[in-house]
Amino acid sequence: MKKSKKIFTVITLLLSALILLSSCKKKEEVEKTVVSVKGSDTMVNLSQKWAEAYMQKNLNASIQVTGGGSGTGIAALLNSTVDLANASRELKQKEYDRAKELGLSPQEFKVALDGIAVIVHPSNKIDALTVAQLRDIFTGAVTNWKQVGGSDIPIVLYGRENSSGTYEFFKEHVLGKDEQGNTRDFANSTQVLQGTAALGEAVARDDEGIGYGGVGYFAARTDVKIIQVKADDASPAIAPAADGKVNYEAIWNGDYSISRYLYCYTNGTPDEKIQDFMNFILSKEGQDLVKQMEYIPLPEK
Amino acid sequence: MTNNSVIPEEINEEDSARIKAESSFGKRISLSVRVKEKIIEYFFALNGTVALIFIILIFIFLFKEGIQALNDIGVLDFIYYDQVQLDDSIKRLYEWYPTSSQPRFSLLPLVVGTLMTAIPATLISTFLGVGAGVYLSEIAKPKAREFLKPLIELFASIPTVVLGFLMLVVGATFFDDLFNPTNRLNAFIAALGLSFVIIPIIASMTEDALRSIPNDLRMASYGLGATKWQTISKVIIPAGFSGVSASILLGFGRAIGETMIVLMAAGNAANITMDLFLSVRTMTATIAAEMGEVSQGSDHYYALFFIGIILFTITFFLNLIAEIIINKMRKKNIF
Repeated sequence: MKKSKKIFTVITLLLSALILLSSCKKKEEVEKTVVSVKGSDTMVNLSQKWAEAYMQKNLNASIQVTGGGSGTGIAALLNSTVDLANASRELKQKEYDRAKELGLSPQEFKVALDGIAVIVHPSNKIDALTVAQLRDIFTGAVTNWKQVGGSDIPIVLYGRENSSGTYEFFKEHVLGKDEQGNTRDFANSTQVLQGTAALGEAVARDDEGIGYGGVGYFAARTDVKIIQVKADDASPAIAPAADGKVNYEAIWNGDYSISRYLYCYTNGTPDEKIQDFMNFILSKEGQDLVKQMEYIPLPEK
Repeated sequence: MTNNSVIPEEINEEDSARIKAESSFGKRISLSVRVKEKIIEYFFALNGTVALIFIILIFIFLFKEGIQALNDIGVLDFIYYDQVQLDDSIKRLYEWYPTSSQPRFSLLPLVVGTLMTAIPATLISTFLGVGAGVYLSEIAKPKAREFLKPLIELFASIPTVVLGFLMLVVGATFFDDLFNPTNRLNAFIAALGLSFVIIPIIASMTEDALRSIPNDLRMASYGLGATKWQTISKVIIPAGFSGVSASILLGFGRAIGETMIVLMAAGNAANITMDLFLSVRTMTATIAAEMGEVSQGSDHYYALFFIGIILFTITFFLNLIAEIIINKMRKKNIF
């Protein structure tokens, strides 16, 4: 009997401690304004940086950033489970339609730019390719480096999973549409890697390889070579990065063919707490962080 | 010989346990003990049922989500896609492009990819695993077995993500230098990684199956003047054949269901190929890679669940067959 009494006391104590603890936590949450952000994996580090800097300035704000991909972020925004969706592409018509069905009106904010670099093994003799050549390479129409002026070795393609923003962007901007108006697809033989880092590793180890990913990520890497891109045969070859530094001008004025805007989406007109965070992102301080994270800041107006 | 010295000890222990149990049952059992006994009984029954209910629920959920794929995507669309060419001719494509402007949902490249990794992995593991099982059961001295069996089983506890990473970084580079394959990451590398997981399964189950063969068979064989090798190849393996084949089936099922290793080491290109040194994409890797970013409720989403149904069905039947074989074997050996 004595023993069971003891156990009872211990349980009661534990329970009351638990209740006390949980009530403490609740208090904290009430005081903070919470903004949840979800979306593009390309933007997750950048978004995290913004969140940290913003929270340092506004001690009672809590910004929670998660990745998962542009599609995931937009889906979450439409399900109203997040306040802000990061997207490395514009909303698709399908997604606008879905939003309309749900009675939502997503608002778009351009927050930064991203350039996609095409990378090859450092031993590759090729320095520049036209967009058309890149298209032929990635659709599998060209299968040997010799066909685009390189050594007589096969081309090995590396790409991203079909739901990533980088995949979609590269497909739209480089592969384009065929004569019948259908978007071209990557060759079957494209190896799919999880994330830009894994892709960089793979190309760095494969002298026949070619892949693509954010300029900011690859600019400083020396184990892969960044290809210069020509819009067409007559255009000059533009390097998205040189000497480990990103070529901002070329991306801003659109000289570099494979660049894109990065977006934040909100549901309707943002309320005060979200608007304040958006203002911070678009401020000079926010855009300096973009540069610091090796993305491309918006051109100053 | 060594087996004989072990068996009597076991019987003695069992006997003494039974004698103790009988003596305590002989006394009057108090009511509270009986109630306690009942509560414990119900507790375990509840646990068992809950597990079963969860499996059924998972199956229902998977089926409910996956079967919706058939609303918009026909059964035939999961096999091929007829693309209309410029000259109005039709080109039949077997491709997996769920997010294309012309969505193509052929599962053929994925099924081929799964088989291209699972079959070589099972072949490698059958040789090494059955060999290891025979060694442990028939040849190894008890001390060696006591040491080696847990060691082999330890292999099975290595997280598959570690094995995948190992194959991605070390294995792929090693074989790249050795054979210079077309793709650095390919079906062969993935199969090798898979066999690390399957060898312990096959080895351990083979050993169990062979050890359950009555010792009389071995003694009779030796009595007829057979050598150890003759005994193993002509008597033990035929007698334990069903158990060994069950272990291989279970290993194959595991190879088909394994995700992390193939996701990291197979390169994930949706090639339809018989070339082991080309990159392939398995059904499991497709689900793992694409489920994260797929928009819920889209055809692509349901198609991924449909792949899940196929995987579930394959592994379910492989396990079922293996289980039936094992049960039959048990009955036979008990006589």
